[in-house]
Amino acid sequence: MLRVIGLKLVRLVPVLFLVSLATFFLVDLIPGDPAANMLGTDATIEDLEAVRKSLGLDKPITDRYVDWLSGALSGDLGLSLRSPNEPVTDLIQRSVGPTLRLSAMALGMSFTIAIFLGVWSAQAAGTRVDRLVSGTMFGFISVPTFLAGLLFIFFFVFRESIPRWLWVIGMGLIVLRLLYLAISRLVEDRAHFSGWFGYAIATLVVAGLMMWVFVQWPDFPRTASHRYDDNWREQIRSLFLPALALALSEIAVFTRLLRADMLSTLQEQFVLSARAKGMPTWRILFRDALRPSSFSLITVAGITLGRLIGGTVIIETIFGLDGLGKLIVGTGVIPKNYTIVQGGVLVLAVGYVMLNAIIDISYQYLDPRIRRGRV
Amino acid sequence: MRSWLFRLLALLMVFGLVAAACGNDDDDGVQTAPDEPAPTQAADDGDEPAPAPSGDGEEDAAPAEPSDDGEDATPADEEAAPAEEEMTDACEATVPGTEITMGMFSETAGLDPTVSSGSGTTGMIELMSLYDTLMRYDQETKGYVPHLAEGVEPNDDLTEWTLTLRPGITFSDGTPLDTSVVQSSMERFLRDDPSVRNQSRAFVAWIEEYEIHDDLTMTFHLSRPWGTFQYALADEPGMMINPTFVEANGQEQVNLNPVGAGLGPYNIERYAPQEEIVVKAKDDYWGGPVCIETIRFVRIPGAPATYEAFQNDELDVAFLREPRVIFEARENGDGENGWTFLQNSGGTVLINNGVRGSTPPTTDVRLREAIAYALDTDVLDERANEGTGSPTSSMLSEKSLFWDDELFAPVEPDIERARQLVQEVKDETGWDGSIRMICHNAPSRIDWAIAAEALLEAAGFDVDLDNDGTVLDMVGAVLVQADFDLSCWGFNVADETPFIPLLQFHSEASNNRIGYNDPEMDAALETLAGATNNDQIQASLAEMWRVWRQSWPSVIYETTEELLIWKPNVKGIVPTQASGLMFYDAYIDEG
Repeated sequence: MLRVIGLKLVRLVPVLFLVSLATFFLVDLIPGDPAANMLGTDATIEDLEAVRKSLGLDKPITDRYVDWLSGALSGDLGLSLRSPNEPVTDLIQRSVGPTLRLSAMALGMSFTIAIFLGVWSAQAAGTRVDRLVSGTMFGFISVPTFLAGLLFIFFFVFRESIPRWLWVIGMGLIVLRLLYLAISRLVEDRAHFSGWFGYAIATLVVAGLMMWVFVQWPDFPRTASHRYDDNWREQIRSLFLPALALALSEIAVFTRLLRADMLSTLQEQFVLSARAKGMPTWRILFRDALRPSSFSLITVAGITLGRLIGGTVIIETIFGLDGLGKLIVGTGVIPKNYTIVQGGVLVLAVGYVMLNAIIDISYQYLDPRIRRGRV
Repeated sequence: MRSWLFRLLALLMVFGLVAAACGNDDDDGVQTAPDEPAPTQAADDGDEPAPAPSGDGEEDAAPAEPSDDGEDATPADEEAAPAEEEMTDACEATVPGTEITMGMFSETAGLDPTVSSGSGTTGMIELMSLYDTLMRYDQETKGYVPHLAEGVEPNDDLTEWTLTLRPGITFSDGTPLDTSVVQSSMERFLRDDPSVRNQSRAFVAWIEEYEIHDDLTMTFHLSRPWGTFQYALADEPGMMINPTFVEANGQEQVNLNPVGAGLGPYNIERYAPQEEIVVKAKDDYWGGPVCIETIRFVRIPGAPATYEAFQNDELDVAFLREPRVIFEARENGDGENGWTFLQNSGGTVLINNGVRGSTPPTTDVRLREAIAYALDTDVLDERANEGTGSPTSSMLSEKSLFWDDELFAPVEPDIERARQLVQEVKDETGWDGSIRMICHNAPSRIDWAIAAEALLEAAGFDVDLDNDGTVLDMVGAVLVQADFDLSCWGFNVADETPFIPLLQFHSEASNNRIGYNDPEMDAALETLAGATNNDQIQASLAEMWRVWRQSWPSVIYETTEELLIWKPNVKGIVPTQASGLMFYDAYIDEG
């Protein structure tokens, strides 16, 4: 195992070198002068020259790259070119936390909802439920993230009664359906306690959840601020809308993926055998069929997490969250603050490659055949 | 039977849900954050007492500017109270737990007055909370009043200004505010350090000598007459820096963590660049108790998002600079608690008059005049701001303190005259009508530039429009390469200091970026420099506008408005110069 991990770490080196090289030279192609951006419209030519010299911008690009690389190898990613010229490592440290939290929350929401919907949809393949889920998922995929963010702001922040009552109506329909089932079972076979009692409990649980959420419905903030970093409840409230906006399309992708894999797994002999033995459906679905169906899901989830960490710039901008995406694009690329772009991209590349290495390793745990080298 | 039972139960369930839902109206309003301020001791009135006389010849200030602010203006002719009594009586001590959040226009370059670029748009407000200033521009009386200083008096030819400091003011470590602190604080602007980027260094350099009479009195000897030198003392150079702090911590820490470095009502609590600035009230502020314990300065990208956060009670104070959003805020009644700052000539077509030896077609004054006649400011405003902006082709807004219908009459659009002038130049010189215009790619500027292109082409110009780049590209093209004929720009001439931004039209100014050279304009600027009261300033500006309409250095198309709004329960905020706000007197009125 250690050898596998070691090999994967060694493979990081050329990847990161190439990433840093490409980023540095690409950023240099962006038109504009960071010194002019720092000084604004009141600057004189002399001011510009002085600032360019103080930032080392008057050196050839190769010299600047070598300077940056030698610093990076010793853990120093340089200083931001924008006053107050903070160390880039400090800026990244500060920004990576909110982005990680946002990405993890989006991924968590996507997983939770997608597993439920994907399994349900596969189990009920071809039925009205399956068609409804599929149609909804296509709708989710069609909504661009920025539009979802703006819509959520409009409805959850400024028209909060609409989603609040939609929640009640949606959950109310589920409650009524469960109640109907419970009563039907009760009338059909009063003696068979487990038949109706399960539905009755489910009805109460869902009704309770519906009421609790309705009563506790939070006032969602327009901006996802850092000020709640010390309070996890406020953090969740603050990050809920941006995370949901990010999660929307991921839910759809994960659900479709899991549904397809589950459908295939449910045709396997061991599932048939389990059914023949009279195993409960929930057990077959969640304990026997879900694990072998989750390979594609985990692979895509890993890639998604990497993409989310580096690609949340639009959502971070819309919700005013000072995360890594906003740092790299807003503070780095646009004002041509190349030390931030370099440092940020390097950190993202490391995270991305490491994440995929972890996913590779996780396959061995998910499928004993891989661990034993049979596949 | 099943059906009836089901319906009955369903009905009961729905009824129960509705009843439960209706019983919860408590949290429908604004959520109370865990750290929401405790009630404050509100003053009998929230208005600032009358300002003290400045003794600087501003007594004959013109009436207050028309504004939509909701503050009760203090009559300019009311007998002024001593400066000490300006300070708040809204609380006896800092009220624990009180906090306000302000949404800023942009981020400051740092917390050092020599580094930050110097207006409310970029750091002035944060810095004022940390440092205070020697003088203060009073927006009510349109004149300067002493703040850390006791007063400042000029000599007859306005080349010497004698400053008297208020006695007994000390920094948190006990270092007294004396004349040596004033000198060292101002000389910091001239140190040989590329991080010194505040434009005030240009006029601090006009101080040739600091003559110190005693601990509290000194005379500034200037290299040129300057009738409103108080401006410098109310701007960043008037922010005093504790020399003991600099000695102990170095210049860099003034920029990053200036705890105890200033004399303002607040100390820095957290400075996370590109994220937030948090300041905490001092318990030893020279002006008495500071009521609001914490102020948080944040930046939310974009004016619409900033205003939405204000509407959602996430911000208590907001800085708005986008015409459409300002219009919406006023429509919603949010402009009633706030202050409007005018930036005259805030929208200008910068014209290359032949900078650094270049020979663009616009060196011909007839073409510059043609551009002025071709650009219909109302059309441009309609296109760029949906008619919500403040279009004008005059150097002053009609809301300006110095406005006069005759003296500052706008240029009326006249497409026929523009065509005639363009044709004249084509016939005489063989020029083909081509002209290059560079703007930046902000959505409203793209719309503006397309409309301007159409209007200019209607006059016979053949416009090569470049609006692909960012502001950065545009600034680079103008400042670094001087490679432009026309550019989207702005001069931001505030009423409190028209001289400083207009100085760039002086032929010898180091920041003359268009190569403009007119001896009449130079003379008008010299007169403006020596103006000591608003009547004289108005006369000088009128002369400038007369010269402007002869030589057309550039073309003005709008006044930029900045609306700073705050919640009705936030009282005592003091608007000052350069779109600045001061919080020393602010408190939260829970009533």
